[in-house]
Amino acid sequence: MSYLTNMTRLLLFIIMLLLFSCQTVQPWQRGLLARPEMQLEPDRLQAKLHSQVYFSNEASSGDSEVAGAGCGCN
Amino acid sequence: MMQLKNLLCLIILAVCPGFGLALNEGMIAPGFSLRIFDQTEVRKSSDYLGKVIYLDFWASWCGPCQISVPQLIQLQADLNSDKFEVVAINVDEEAHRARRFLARYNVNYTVLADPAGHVAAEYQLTGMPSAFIVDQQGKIVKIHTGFRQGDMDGIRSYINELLN
Amino acid sequence: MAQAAKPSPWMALTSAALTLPAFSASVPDQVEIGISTTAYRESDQNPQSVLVGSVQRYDININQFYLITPIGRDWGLALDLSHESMSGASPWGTVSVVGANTQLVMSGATIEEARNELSLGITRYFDTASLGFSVTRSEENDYNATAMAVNGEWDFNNRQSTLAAGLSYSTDSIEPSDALSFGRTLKQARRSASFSLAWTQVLNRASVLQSGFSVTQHNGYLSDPYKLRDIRPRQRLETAINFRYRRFMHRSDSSLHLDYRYYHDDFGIGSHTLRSAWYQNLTDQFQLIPSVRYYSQNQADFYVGGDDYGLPETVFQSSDYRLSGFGAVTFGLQGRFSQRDWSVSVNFERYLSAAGYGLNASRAEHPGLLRFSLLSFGFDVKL
Repeated sequence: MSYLTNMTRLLLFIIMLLLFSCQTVQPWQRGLLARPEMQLEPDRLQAKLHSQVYFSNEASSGDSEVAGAGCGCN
Repeated sequence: MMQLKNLLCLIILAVCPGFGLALNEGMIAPGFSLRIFDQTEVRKSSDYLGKVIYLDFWASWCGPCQISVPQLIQLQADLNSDKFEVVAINVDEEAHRARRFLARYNVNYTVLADPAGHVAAEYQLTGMPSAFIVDQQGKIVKIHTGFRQGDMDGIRSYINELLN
Repeated sequence: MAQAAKPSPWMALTSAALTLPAFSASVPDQVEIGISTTAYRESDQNPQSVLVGSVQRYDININQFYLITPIGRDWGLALDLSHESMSGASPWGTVSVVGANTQLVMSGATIEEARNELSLGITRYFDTASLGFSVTRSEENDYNATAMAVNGEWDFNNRQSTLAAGLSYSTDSIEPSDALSFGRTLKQARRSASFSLAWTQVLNRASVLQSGFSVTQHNGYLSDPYKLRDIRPRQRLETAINFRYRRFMHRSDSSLHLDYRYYHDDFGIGSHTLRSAWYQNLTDQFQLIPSVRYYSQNQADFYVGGDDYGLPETVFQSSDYRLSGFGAVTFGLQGRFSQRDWSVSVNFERYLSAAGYGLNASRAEHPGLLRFSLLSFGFDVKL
């Protein structure tokens, strides 16, 4: 499927672009990342609901719900 | 010749930003000079020599800071302010968020403003919140990163030891 | 009891159980509670497309609850509860007539049925890592499932990078209602095991990127016992990769969410999902969140447009619309009002699917493709 290979190339290109915007973020500079709207999943119940609804009505699955980023507080 | 050496040093320092000594317990606390939050009066680190201080770096967006604040208020109330002070350094870039946070509590200790994070950088914080217990001679005796339930007991006993 | 064609969609607990619980990256600071109530309404079928049976699809009310609490210094607990009550009808099968559109054989409308789910997770938090274990149980009158999961997280690079890994296992059993009267299978079981890996990277002060990968293996009875003719393989291997990008926009005081997932399984189904949401702060307390989701899947290898009873039962076959080739678009709008310790939200979504929305050249459209609306009210509070 050359279509898939093109898609893979596009995704890799976008990721490279994003990684180039990488900058070191110090612990005291995480204010924006700590905002609720910047979390990977700001609404726990909505995320679970969507997971259930879409899995039940479509053939796909596999959205990993893991944490990370945020304020990075101890 | 001197100019070339200076230029080389500059290049090396620019390329290796972490090229400095790590801040450890036992070292002298870096000096600072900061305005009191929402005021014009300035406090310097030298103002606190002779006292034990709990230097606490905090921000409105830091969850564990909400646990620590009431406990720090209690700590300051329990100890003689001639001998011990809590000095809180706020690193919020947006002052109004810190203001809203402080409005919820009757803070009985000094809050200083470091919105650009310069002092935080000098103290090489590795997490938020970060606290430095500094003795009467200005030496860092304990670095405490993070804040969880039950941490205050250990901090209290350490400070009591220093005061006696 | 009145005949009950069970909503086979909702028997698929497995995914929810296998999804790693969304636990916090650090010890919760406070007790947090949330509740939500949702009205999910599937649009009626076009009467022209129904040969026999009800034109009404499913109405489901979903009530959710969660509780997160720290335990001592180093532990956290998460409890999730869900209660769903549903009524309606679903496709039993399809009939193809030469020269005419495929039509649906629908079940009759059901009486109200319920599903309950409970999930309990406990996590131990270390300095820059955490380890959690969770158990989930789902029950309805004809279907039970139990799942357990283990997950771990490690922070690197001054907490700018996080690696998360999860392993889960579930066992499900189904005992279709009215099995004897309708000639359905009596009791069946299946098992699923899943592994996932995710890397979250703070790119700069205003953006984050998560990349994830998961693989799931199912074994056992995977067919839909309520369909007139549905014979699926007894194994299924699924893989998915996904990306989530979050970026804060200073000038507009808003955040952009962009999620993409590619899925593939050995039923021959491949899909793309792209979801975008825009979190717009209107005031310090009020936030408006429009969202759009695009989905496209191709059909399963053994998918048939019209049920063919002439095919031997040793040949895999299914006319389930969920295995057909189609695309879907969801438009959503959420409003959120937040105070210091609590917030309320209202969310509305409309989902539309059609063969023509899919990326692949669409074949004949399954007459049972879904359209639904959902309306949710949510409330959460920190104590």
